Amino acid sequence: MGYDLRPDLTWPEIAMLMLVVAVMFADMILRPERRGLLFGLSAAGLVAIGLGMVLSPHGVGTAFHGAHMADGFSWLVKIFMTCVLLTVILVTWPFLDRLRSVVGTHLILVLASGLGMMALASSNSLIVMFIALELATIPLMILTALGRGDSQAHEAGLKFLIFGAVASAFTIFGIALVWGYSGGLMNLTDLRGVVAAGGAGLPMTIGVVMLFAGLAFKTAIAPFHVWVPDVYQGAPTPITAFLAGGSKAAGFTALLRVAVALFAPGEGEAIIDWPLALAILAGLTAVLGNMAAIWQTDLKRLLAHASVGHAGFLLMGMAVIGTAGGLLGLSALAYYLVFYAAAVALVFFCMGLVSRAGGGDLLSDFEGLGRRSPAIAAAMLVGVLSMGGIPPLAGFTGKILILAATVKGELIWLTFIAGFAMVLSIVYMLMILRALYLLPPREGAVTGARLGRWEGAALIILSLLLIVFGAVPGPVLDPIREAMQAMAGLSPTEIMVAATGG
Amino acid sequence: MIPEFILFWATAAVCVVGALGVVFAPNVVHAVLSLLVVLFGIAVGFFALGSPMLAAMQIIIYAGAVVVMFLFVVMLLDITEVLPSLGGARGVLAVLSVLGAVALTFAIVAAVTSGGLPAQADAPGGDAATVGWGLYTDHVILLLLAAILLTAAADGVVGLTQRRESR
Amino acid sequence: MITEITTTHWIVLAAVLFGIGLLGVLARRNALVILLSVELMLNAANLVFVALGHHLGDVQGQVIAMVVMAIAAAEATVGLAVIVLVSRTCRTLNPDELTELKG
Repeated sequence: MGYDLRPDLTWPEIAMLMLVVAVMFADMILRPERRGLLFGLSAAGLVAIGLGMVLSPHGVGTAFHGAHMADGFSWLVKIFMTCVLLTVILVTWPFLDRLRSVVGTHLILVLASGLGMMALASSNSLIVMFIALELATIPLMILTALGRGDSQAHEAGLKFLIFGAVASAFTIFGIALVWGYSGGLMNLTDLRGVVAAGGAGLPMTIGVVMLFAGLAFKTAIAPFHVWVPDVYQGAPTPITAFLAGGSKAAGFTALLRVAVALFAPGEGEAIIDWPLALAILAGLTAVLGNMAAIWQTDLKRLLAHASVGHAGFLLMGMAVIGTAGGLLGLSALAYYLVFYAAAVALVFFCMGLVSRAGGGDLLSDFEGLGRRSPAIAAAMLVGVLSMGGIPPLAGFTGKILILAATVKGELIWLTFIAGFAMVLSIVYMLMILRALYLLPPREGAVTGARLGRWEGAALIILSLLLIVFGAVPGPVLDPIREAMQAMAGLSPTEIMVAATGG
Repeated sequence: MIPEFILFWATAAVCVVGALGVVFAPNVVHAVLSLLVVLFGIAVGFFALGSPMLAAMQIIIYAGAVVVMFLFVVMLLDITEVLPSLGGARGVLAVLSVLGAVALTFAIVAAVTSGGLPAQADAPGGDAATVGWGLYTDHVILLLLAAILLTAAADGVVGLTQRRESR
Repeated sequence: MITEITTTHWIVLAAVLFGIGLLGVLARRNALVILLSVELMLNAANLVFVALGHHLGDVQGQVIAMVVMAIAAAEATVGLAVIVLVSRTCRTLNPDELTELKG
């Protein structure tokens, strides 16, 4: 009985909630021409929350009667989410003039979605996970349709909404079956015990399948990825960056918690061989996404297909759960996700700057950018090279870690598929490089996109992140590994793997 | 007192007929009204399952607010403009859709009829006090998250429409 | 089976409603009708929650069903707002006819 609020564990979410409310009130009070201040307020609040989380030791425990789990993993994810939100706000900056009267709404929705993602990282209960996922997604649907006054954005918003609504219907029906047939268990830590004891019957298994289908929609895993290209292309650039970086990370966080609890093999005959199913879907996703990216002429659409390919790589890190490569796979997944988000932020920020100067989103609009705006092109080069997987950038390190995990998990066929997908990703990377540096600028192309002092600093910081931590992954990888070990260590199979030197 | 089995089969018949009406009605208004029938049927189901509170909420929230909102939008839009796109999938796509939906339904039905239901316990109370106590103590986090979601969604929807006026 | 009603009966009814909703989503080509079908699917899930909650003697099922109602209402509101915007700019509600976004 009682609330079981535990402010010592849940203060980041509470602070985020207060920030959302503060921005809401400021939006009402401030005069329209002063609304730029809202950016400062949001950024300052996020920096304060982020610093607070970095500086204070993370608590371990549960709040809200076991529904909210604070551990090292969720703490890292929340710090990462704060950084993503800051970058999204940064990427929105070039669009300030275009947003006009909806600046406040825009920021409120971004922050509310971020709050949902943070709650998602800590959710230990399926139903809290569902609602947090809705809180993360529904504001994104509005943001997709909100940004521009054109029919493209509205169309993208409608498609996102239809797919998202169907996905959540699947998720909630699956949760209902899992909850009922496990005898009223909602918490993942309890469900993990049922599955490990081999107590998952047929109804519960079909519930898990429906739950997975819903999550696969949100994380854009093939064959549930068909909505991604249209939505990414139609959404305003900062929101595309948010979708590709933050939303995908949030979806994978949820999937990770579900996978550790429900997909690990238990005693007795499992009805579905989840690791194998995940491995097949991962290979399919990586190849399909990267293959489709090659045929695109619109840069945003290309990056959308590429992001499907990246989801495939991420899923590979999850497919090795329960094998000797389990811990490495999960750590590689988190590392990959962090620096994929950084590369996405870098590329989309550059696109935003070009678009502010009057350029479009087509690949041909970027032809000769190396000559027109050398600084922006150089930053974009770093981001694209990292996505394509060129050493010593972080994207390469992430891919190698994933490959190593599949080798260690004895899924050699998956290693080969991953290698093939890597080659495909180099092809589309070369296409972008060719446009940036080899082709001459088109007639009438925008020259000399303006670059403010702060914007330049942001580009440099993001580029340095990719270069430095790609060459020296240790400082990032070690805390991730520790957190993953602590989270996965709760599961019997993972303890076994860790003990045998996994 | 109506026997339980008559109540169930009557509810089931009303719900299924209404649901088919939602999917196959040629006119959007009829589809919305069919949804209303299903929602009333489910409210009766809630009542039969010992949840009078939820049955009341179902009628107040869904029938009273959501369906009315749908009807309002149907009236707001120019129906003659929208009608040409009211068609369904054709040919192979239609067959695949039916097959997919039927296959999923059969999978769920086969799974749940294979047993595995946990032991039956005494029914909980279904009045406002019991549900409210659960909502405001043990499951208060659900309420909090839903509240933020509704607030943010309301703000966003206002933003969506407000921008049109400023143009 | 016909005169003795068990919890499974209610869950089968919910599964059938969910299936019909899915059929609507897959086969119909009007955003409004698709949204109605999604409401149908969410209601089916609610029926499962209430039926199993009744069976297990757990009030949690009813609490969750209530929260799902709120979520469904939020989704419907946002959906309808976007539909109004789209119908004004595109003059069609058929997702297949919305082809501006193509590679």
